[in-house]
Amino acid sequence: MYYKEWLCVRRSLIVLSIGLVALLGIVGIVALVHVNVGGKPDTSPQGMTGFVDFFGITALLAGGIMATILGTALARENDDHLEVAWTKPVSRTEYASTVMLVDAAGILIAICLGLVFHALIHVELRQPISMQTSAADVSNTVRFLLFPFAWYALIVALSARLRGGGIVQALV
Amino acid sequence: MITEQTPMISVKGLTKVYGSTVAADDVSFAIDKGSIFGLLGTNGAGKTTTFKCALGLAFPSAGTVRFDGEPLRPELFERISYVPERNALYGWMTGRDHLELTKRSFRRYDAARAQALLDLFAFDIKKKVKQLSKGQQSALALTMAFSTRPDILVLDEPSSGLDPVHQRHVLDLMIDAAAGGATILFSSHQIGQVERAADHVAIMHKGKIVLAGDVEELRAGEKVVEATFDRDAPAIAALDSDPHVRRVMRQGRILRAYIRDGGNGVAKAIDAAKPVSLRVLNQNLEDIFLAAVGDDSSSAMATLNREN
Repeated sequence: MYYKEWLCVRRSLIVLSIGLVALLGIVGIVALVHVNVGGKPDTSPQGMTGFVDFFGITALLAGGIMATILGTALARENDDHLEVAWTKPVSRTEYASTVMLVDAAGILIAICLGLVFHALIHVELRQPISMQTSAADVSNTVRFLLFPFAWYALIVALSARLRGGGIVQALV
Repeated sequence: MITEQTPMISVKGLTKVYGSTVAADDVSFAIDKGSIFGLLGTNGAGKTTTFKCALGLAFPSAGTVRFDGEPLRPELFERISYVPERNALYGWMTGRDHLELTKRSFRRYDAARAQALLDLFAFDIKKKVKQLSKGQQSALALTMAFSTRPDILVLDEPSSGLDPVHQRHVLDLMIDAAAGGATILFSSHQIGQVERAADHVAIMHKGKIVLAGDVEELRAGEKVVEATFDRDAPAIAALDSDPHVRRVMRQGRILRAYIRDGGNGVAKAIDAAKPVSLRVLNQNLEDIFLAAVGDDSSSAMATLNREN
């Protein structure tokens, strides 16, 4: 039942990974040219990236991109595929819920992939990440984590009745 | 069709209105288990709308549909397969992906049957659907539909895009499935196919069912007296008052009288008008269809005949 959506998520993750690898390569080249690779990393509080900033940028970019791509899942079914989607032995509510759960898993995987690639970029640039967090940082991290899912829900809601949903993707 | 057993498909008073257009108007029919029911009609007659309403893909304005005595619910799709008129497959997925999707969605999926169907239609399942021809896409949709060994098959123009060899395969699959107890509702523009496969037909015109019944009974009931003249076919007054004549069509130099019994008297009346040729034919399903829906293009056809 969720197989088609999983294929869609997998395809999107592959595209995202290719983009992140390309970005990693570009940053690596830039680092080689402009950064003093022989020098020691700046481990002073001013020289380190805070964990919330690190996590937030990743969640916004990787999670947000994935949420935008997958957010038109139901609209894509409207685009001439209902005869396949709606003639399965499951209720439409169950079908739509499963599709959205698979997409949510895809967004979570995208964030994890993003974190790995972002960490690698920091290694390339020799910029340490400060892992010291406060109570406020925890709530901010949770907000950053939830943002892609809220973004996904918004796009699903806006596009669910459309055919294809490309117009919503284009607008956002 | 009057039956004692519960019909596998029962449609009663189905009506679908789009704005000011009545796409299906009080459509009713019932199909017994193991029967092949052909729905005939011109483009826009309401066949696809009827299918969509029956399967819950469109909300009917009125009427009820029952499958094996039950209203449609999601679990029933385990027993129902539907092949839509136009391709509803996912262009970016391969044929293999679609079969995997079918396998994961239907408990009744039969891998051996699917492989046999793939061997029959002989297309590359590694290709993406958008790379397949229209006929190959139809073949994939049919493979998905028949691979679950459904009790009920709803096929909207199932042979669309297929070559004559594969069209025959589809007919054989339908007949074979019906022999195994499956109930089949299908539509086709190819009346010869319907005549070959269906045991019952309904003819739709402008949203209504204008004729329905057993194919053999419909064919046996009427004959056609066809006459060709060297001038425009004349109006023959005797035909208007003859109780055996159901309908007279005049198209340029051709006159056709659709009769029920008493063919000799009608033939004599037409022969008196001195036609170039005259013959009495057994009516085939095409004649029945054309007589039922009328022929809106008859005046244009008459002009063409005159020009020839």
